Amino acid sequence: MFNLQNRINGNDDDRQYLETRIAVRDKLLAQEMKDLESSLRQQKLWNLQVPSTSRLHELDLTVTPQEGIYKGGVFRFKITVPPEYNNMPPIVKCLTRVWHPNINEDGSICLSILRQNSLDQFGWRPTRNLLEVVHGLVALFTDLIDFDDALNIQAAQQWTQNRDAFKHRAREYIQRYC
Amino acid sequence: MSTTNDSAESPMQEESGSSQKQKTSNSTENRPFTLKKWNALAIWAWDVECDTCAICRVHLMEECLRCQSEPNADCCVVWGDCNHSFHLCCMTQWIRQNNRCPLCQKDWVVSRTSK
Repeated sequence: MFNLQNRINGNDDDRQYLETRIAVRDKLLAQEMKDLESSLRQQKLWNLQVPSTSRLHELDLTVTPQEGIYKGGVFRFKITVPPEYNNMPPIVKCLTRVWHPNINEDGSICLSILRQNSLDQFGWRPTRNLLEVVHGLVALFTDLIDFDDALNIQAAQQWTQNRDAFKHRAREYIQRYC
Repeated sequence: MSTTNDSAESPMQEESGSSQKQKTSNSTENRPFTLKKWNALAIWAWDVECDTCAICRVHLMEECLRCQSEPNADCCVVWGDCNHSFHLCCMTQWIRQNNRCPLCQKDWVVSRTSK
């Protein structure tokens, strides 16, 4: 609770709370890094980089699909892990413009496990981890493309009306922005 | 062919045989060390199905990740009706967001705590 006298005495509960949350998050992330590194070495569909080792909560992901509509594309994502991790999911933005039913042109992503408040089993849970998020994002270009639950409604409509036109536009975006 | 082969092999066999004898006699006569004392060590653990907290990923018999950095004597274990167990601190925080077991998605009902 907010207490002015405490604040004057230099006790800031909010700041203390945030510091503990950040310490817990950083410990969880440090544990996950080993898993991520070994998974990274076993495949060539994605690459993950941590620009600063003192900021493990900011990661750069690159997805390079090897098959399907988006083959040949190089899609960059920014993953930010909030202080409340793992009660809250990572925040992911797509930095590459893409013609995709579940990624809009601002880079917002519609992926079930990134949803914080979900009443079904597919949403975020503290038992999930970053590797699951990476796998989800990789699959978003193949198995998890969902034209029925679209974020980019125009893209989904184009798919139902004219699949070839959709594929053509997706390829055009890859050539232009990847 | 066969006679030349035989004559080539036989001296080699003799050689290896004699070197083996030398080795065994050496090791029995002067060992580099002798065992004077040894201590047995046993490790025990609870025989339970799930022994780490799925939320903070720390062993349930230890304090949760949060309480390790902010000492708290009340850190204990909680079991739900679904028989899944977590640290009470971890679960209290999670159910504020979503009142279901993160492992099986059933509604969370506390069955007992370790205190």
